Amino acid sequence: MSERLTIGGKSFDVKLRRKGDSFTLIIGEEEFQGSYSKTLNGGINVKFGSSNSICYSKSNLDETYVFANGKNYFFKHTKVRFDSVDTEETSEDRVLSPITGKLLDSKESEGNLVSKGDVILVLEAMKMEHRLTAPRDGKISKITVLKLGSQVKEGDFMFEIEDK
Amino acid sequence: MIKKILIANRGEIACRVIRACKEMSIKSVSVYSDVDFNSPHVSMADEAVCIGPANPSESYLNFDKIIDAARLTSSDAIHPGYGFLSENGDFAQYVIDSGLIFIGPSPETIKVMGDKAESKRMMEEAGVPTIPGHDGELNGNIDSIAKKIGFPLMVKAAAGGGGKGMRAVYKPGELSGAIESASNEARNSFGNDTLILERFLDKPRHIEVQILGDQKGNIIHLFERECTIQRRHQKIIEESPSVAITNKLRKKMGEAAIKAAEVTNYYSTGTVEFLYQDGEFFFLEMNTRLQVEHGVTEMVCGIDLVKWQIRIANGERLSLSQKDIKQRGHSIECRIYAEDPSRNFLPTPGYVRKLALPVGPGIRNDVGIVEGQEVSSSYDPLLSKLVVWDSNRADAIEKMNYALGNFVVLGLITNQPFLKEVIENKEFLKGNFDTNFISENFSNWELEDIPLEAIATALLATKTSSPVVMSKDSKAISSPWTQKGHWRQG
Repeated sequence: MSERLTIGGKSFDVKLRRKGDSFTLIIGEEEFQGSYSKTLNGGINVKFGSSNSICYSKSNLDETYVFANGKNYFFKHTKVRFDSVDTEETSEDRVLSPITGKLLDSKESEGNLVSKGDVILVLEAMKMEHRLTAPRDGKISKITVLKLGSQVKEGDFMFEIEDK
Repeated sequence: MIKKILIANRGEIACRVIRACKEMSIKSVSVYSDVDFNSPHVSMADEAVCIGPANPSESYLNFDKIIDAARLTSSDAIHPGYGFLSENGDFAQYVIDSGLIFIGPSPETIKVMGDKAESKRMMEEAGVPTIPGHDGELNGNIDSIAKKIGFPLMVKAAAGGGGKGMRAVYKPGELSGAIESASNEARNSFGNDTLILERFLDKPRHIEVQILGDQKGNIIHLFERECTIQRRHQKIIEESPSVAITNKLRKKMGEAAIKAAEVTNYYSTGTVEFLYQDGEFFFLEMNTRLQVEHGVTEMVCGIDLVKWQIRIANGERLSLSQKDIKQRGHSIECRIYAEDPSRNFLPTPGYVRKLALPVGPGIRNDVGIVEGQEVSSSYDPLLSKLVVWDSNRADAIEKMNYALGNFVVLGLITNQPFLKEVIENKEFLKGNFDTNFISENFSNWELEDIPLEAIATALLATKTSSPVVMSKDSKAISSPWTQKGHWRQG
């Protein structure tokens, strides 16, 4: 198994081999030699060559938040199997909630014909409205059954569109 | 004499006011909703009262619950902060009618200036320049009203502020959609969906003037703040002074702001916002409260505005005259938001799992979060304000870059990496920007460089120890990562 790190919508296959306080970082086909030590306040002092950088991280299941070289980063991890086939449906016709917030309004219902760009659902988080629009012309084949005012989590199914 | 202040707010501004109370040996009382029980403003105050559920209308916006909490704790004054009830004239009146002191201007002033149409009329009468527009009822032929003003135009909530309930409209076809969504947002944010239309300056800078007045009619200004770096009308970086205006214009704007304050019998802190383009400035609105970005003014003028608000509410005379006020050096503020800049600034609630703030001479953190706290989706995404001061703009930018680069916040996504890139932008360094700066230079923003250290740390954190097997579809990439530690995404 190697590991896939996703950041900002892009994925990379990476691997870390450790031996004592040294490690080899493999990104794609590139290899980098480094070492590390822990700091008293929970940080990691990462060294590549002569440069060192005090970094911090917090992990939660498949997510890792990292501070390194002056910026805060957010990575998602997936273990990648040799023979794995990407079975996850990534159709653009299936619209998931991009945010955690509240369902404010529902403009359409199942079976309605819609055009690309039409507002289907309105969400609200942190006092800002966020409109979910139709990705293309078509028919609403399925739409969330959540009541208006309900909490919505990031990644929750919102609606699906099919050919007219 | 004010002995105990209830702060009808949350987050960083509640903490800011509590700190001022502590300095002045005044007792402080926080109010909080269910989801805020472990927020820092609750633990910092001398007393705290739970006033209801997360929904603001049942807690932070509820007059009676706040007044009851003040009575319960024998508070004698209420500080509204910004947002929530800070610009609600009815609330200010209710506080006074309940026998308490409202820390802010008079209810009449708040009401007049909170109505954008009415305030614009008053400014026109007072000779303060304003933008062409329509401030009457929006019934009947909206299209012909819009045509008369000309495009682009702006749809704005009459009771608004902070970018809520505002939409720019570039062509007639976009008008009805903009009106609908602006009025929805206005209703939800302010409980009032009245809208106004006006001409939209295409390359403006947003420059505002801080004013401070007492209840005896003394009014001074504390110079300008440049708040041009905005995204969707939400300010993200502010500074003082502005590089765009001459001393002559600075003086003119200060005088216009004082005129605006005088015609509204203003006292306490207030801000007169102007749009500036090509040597001309126009009155935008007046904010009858403490402003989010008040810190940069405090840094360059050496004055604590919150302490002055409290003294003035206490009936004290303003001991400062205009000639006492000097702009010294340069100050910049960056707003740290729980927003994902790589996904069009979607709000990103979560848990604060690590927070380490930058320190050093001239670095100030107005922070509203602590480690272990949940940042809920119920409230504004502002987490903290990072403010720096140095002797000139170039040094202040350098300091901000250092301070941002030492701002560690893990557990939720913030705009910190984005702010750092804005601060490093060449046009920003030159001071060459208008309010379109972010949308023109940073749309579809994504992280360019991922340092090797970040990747190594992410992997060290999760204790991987399986043998090396690359997945079949991993592409052969011809060494895009450089030895100095930066890894550029393809």
